[in-house]
Amino acid sequence: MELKSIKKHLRPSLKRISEEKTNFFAMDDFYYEEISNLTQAGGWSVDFVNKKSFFDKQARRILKVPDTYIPTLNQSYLFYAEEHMQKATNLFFACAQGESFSAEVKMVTYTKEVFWAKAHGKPVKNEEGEIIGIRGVFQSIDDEKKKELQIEASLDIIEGHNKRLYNFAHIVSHNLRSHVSNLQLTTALFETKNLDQDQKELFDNFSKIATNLDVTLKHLNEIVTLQTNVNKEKENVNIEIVYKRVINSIRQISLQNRVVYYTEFSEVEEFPYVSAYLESILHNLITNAIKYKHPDRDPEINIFTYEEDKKNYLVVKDNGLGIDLEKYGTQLFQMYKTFHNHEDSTGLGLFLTKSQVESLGGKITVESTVGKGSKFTVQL
Amino acid sequence: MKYPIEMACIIDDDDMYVNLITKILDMKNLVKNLLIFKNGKEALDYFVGALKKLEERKIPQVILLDLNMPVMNGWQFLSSLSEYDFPELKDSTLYIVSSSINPVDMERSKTIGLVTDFLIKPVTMDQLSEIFMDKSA
Repeated sequence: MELKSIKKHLRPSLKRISEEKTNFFAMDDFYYEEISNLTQAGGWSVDFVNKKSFFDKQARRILKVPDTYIPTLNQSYLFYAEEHMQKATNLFFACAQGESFSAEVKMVTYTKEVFWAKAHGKPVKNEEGEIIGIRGVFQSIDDEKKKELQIEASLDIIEGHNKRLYNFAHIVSHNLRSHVSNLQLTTALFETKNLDQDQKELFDNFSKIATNLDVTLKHLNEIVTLQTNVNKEKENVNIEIVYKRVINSIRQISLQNRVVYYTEFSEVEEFPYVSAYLESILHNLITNAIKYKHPDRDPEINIFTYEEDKKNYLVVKDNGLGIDLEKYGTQLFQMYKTFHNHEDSTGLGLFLTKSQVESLGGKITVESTVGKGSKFTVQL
Repeated sequence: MKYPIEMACIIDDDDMYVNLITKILDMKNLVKNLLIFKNGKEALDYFVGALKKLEERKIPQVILLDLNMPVMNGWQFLSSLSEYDFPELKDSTLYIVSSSINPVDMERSKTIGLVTDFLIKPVTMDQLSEIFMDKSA
């Protein structure tokens, strides 16, 4: 019997067997199609031996080719955007030499719409291990890619803005400093002996202005310097030690104001932080609590640490005047905002505190009741 | 008249500042001869000229150097002057007097042997007296 007739003879029986074994849950076209729909991924292949190219249903849909379109290898470059044609060709040739690829390329539909795609390709080998074609999948990632590019572009813009702002702050503080410096020296040299009363008063104004300008500039300097030090390295800081240092430095005003301190640092004693910042944060929050004490009672300040959801917190709670958060909540941490008529208020303390906390990736929040007190919570 | 310092110099492009410092130095009789250079280049030319002729007396004992200046700034002046390696300069005291509060500048100044200290403007009268009296003591 000839080979051909044997095959013919066998075929019906093979068919019957496969029909008998029909499994309704087999990996068939259903899954393949659903996956390709869901992922917007189409398949393609090139057969080097028979010189044929193939697009599957989803590929045809993504590339918007007409039903009658027959893909050819010679025309395939037309599906890549001009600037990526070379890249696609290189990947393709490398794949024909046996190198699989996975890349993001700009493709073009049959109707000339450009879109971003993720393309994978693998060589197809025959039994002898020779490469006889390539097949792969490409996925439209246009939406994601566009968003990604947009975010990158906005990031660049923001970075640029930041850099300019930073330079601006530096230039302002530097140039102002030269002028203020001269103004101060001039007032220092000015001979006031021979002035009459009126002129002397006016001159006193000059001196005050010069001094105030200098103070304002010092604040500005602090802020500018703070921005420069963002990359300061964290080290393990002991809160108790920092607390003691702060308390020592404000012993005098604590005594004058009869402040009572309660501390509890046992839950979180040590954590990685910039020591100088912690000291400044604690100093600011404590002196604020004293500055805005209630006139009818001695200040009591509670300072403690705790851990929640693997994050460390520092709390400074007082029984002072309190702040009307509904009215001032949004402005509380802004520069030059003061809410009490207090001559020591510079409107800078909380702004600096917030900047320091945030420059180390933390947060600061406040709860307060007017007449009862405030509670500042720092996420470290 | 006895002055604490024979010769000092200011290298600074800010006329008003130079004027004010000159007045203070005069008023307090802190220095006999005061040289003024508007930028690093002018100062460098003078220093190199004077030192090559070995006119030691003409080397300022106190130097107040600004950083931001046209033509040649303070840093360039320092690095050019260092290259000559004049031993006579060891007897001079050099202060950087700048409006810069940039910690980077301060750190940098510490790495330069010629620099004694970094002063931030405004300099006070007391600071100036101290600098000149210390030097003469």
